[in-house]
Amino acid sequence: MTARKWTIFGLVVTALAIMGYKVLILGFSPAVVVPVKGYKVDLLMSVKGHGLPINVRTYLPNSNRHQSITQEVQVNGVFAQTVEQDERGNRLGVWHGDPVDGFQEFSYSFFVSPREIKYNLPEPIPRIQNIPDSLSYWLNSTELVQTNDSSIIAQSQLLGLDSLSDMRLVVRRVYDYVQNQIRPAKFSGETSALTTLQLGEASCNGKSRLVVALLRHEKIPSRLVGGMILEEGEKRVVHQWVEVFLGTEWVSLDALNAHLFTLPANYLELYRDDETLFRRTSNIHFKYSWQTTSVLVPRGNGDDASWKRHKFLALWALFQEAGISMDVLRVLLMIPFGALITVLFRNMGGITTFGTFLPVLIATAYRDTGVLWGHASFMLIILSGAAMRPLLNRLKLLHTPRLTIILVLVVLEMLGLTLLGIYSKQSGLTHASLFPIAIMAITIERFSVTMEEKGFQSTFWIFVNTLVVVTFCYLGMLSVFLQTMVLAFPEVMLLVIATAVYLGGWTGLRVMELWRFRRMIFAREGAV
Amino acid sequence: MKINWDALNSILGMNRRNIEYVYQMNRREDFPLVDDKILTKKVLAEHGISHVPLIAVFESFLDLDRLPEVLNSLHSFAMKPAQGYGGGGIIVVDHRDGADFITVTGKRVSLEKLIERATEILYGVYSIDSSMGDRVIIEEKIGRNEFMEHLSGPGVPDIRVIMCRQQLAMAMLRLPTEQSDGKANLHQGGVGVGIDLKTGLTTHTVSRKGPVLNHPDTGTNLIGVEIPQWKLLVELSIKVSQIFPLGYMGLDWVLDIGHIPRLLELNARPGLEIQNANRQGLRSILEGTVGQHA
Repeated sequence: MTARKWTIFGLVVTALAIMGYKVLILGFSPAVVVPVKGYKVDLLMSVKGHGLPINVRTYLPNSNRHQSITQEVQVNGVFAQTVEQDERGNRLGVWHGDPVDGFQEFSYSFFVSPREIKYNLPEPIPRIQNIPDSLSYWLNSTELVQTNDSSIIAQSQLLGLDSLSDMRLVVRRVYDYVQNQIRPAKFSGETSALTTLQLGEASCNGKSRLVVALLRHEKIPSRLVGGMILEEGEKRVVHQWVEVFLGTEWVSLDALNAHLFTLPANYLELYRDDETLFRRTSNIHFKYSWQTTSVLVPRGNGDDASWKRHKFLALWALFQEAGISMDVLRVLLMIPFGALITVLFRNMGGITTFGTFLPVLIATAYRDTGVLWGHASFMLIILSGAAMRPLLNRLKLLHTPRLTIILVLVVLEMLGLTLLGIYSKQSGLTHASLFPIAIMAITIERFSVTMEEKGFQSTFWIFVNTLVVVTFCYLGMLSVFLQTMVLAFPEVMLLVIATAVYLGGWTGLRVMELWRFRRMIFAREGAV
Repeated sequence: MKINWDALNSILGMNRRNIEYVYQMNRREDFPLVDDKILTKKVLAEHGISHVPLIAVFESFLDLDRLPEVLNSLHSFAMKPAQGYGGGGIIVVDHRDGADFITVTGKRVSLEKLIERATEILYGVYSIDSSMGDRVIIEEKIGRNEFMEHLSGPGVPDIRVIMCRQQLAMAMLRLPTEQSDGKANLHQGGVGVGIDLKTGLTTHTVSRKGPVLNHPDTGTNLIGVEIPQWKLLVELSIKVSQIFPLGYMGLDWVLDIGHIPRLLELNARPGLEIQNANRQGLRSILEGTVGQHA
């Protein structure tokens, strides 16, 4: 009794001491481990080739103060992929195929955790007298940003920009004019600054060019930024906004969606300057779309200063450097929590499942299939396996060879489910092959024996219980908070052990026992 | 409906039974003494305790070659796994009809069916640890006891006694039904009847359908019935608990012809349903009078 208490005490104290040391002495910030809202973005691209070489290039997002990009994955198919950098710091993904024939798909995926940036500009900012060479590029007049065109100059004079000495006011006046006087319109294609001025209406790129043209005329370095607005679902629409250099830093504004000196959290930056997002070999059939899903993303990217300082303390940073898949690490670290959930259900709930830790292993496989397809595949495999067993019984085989045959059937079934998933384009189903095969075979065996010994009703309930516990394990192990917590503070495992010690020594009645002994516990008048 | 907190606190749950009784009072190395029926019978024979004698043991598939010969030579017998649990896999043959075997519940069973069952037992299908395989034991069939037959008809009823620190903690009569196929195990559909330890009189009952006043098949009243030879059963139980090194266990007694008690088997993890049969919690008893020696 006391041994148990001391063990729990020791484990909890040790865990808290290590955590405290990391946080208090080493300055390891707990904020680093709190997950942030983010998105998983899949850029899906496809081409139809005719046996000739094909090049496709697009901009890949950079990590910066506003957005942290992690877990980039390319699926290149028949293409060779390279990453290049241009002189403006943009990152380019280039896909090259030679030759490319027929319909070919490729994709680029990443997780982004963006944050809103509000520029706090309390003091007047005087105009810059001598623009350094490094910034002079951002004053150029171009084919679409006609800074020196007489209409633009006239508009600039109309707005009285040259009388303003505070750059903030210049930007505000230009912004107010374009935001309020130029009507928003859904134009496809590119609209120049001049066209926008002449038509009095434009979409994001026309409005942004007009802003840039007017500001450049005032010798304020400014540029277009290209990207997309992050929202759940599928989309093809790109977005452009403006950055202005105000003496010390680049500041964002968007004269279409009314954001001045603010960069909204859901703006994904892809490139700077007046560029086209996709460039490709002409005369090919090219399609793209972004699939965006919102997720919780563990914090801690390359440019988080406090993160960098304590990188050595965080397991996952080390693993990332060693090139070990984060998924492997997460599954590994989450299994103890799944086991704990199982213990809770068994020893406090009194709920029987097939196999002690089977629910945990199944829940692990659900990570890829999702809970719906997971349950469906699991039920299908177990029930069809159990249906096969009476036939096997007739052959009167020994235990292990019989199990081997069931195992083969399970493998075939998983193969079938995977193929079905591929043909029906249900990606959840394709991952059914990740189910722990041997465990499935043993479960089929146990299911059948239970069926013979305890009958249909008991077996059915144990099966339902198993599904319930699997669901809870799945939900628990899915928790990004837990995942990040364990990745940053692996000593949390000691607390898992402490909890297991506590539960292992817990002598209370199980929930199901309250039902079992209900006639003694819930007294009724005149009971037999 | 009101919660009876005293009753709630008096109940022994699975967690407490395992932690405070099974693990604490029974050493792991002693488990085979009760889990393995062959070993149990050996110890009982050495100490001259009345028990159900062994006729034959079959340890391997090779051994099964002589099974037909042994079975054909017998009029009645019981076939069991040596390390079974919950009464699974047991066939009790009452008499013969030509080449066929008639079970206590009147079912006709062929020699082939018996060999098939023996094979399953060897696989370990009915055993505590099914991966290890098991042995088949053939033991004597208990004679027909008029008292028991009056209560529950055919089948083999037994008396489960829970011993803690060499004292009786609780007892119940386990009666087979047609539903339980002649077996006395409660989860197979048998009826549990609580026994007052002092008087040997039955008190309450439990069955799958809840408490009953009469046996579902025979209709015989089950409450206030005096268990024959109760005093002797109490004495014998204490004697058995002194022989075996387990501090907490269940003894299963059967009554032979002439009410002679015979020990059928022992159990290191006796079930908790006995509390429902007695309408009384075990925990308060174990921590009360029985626990005073601790």
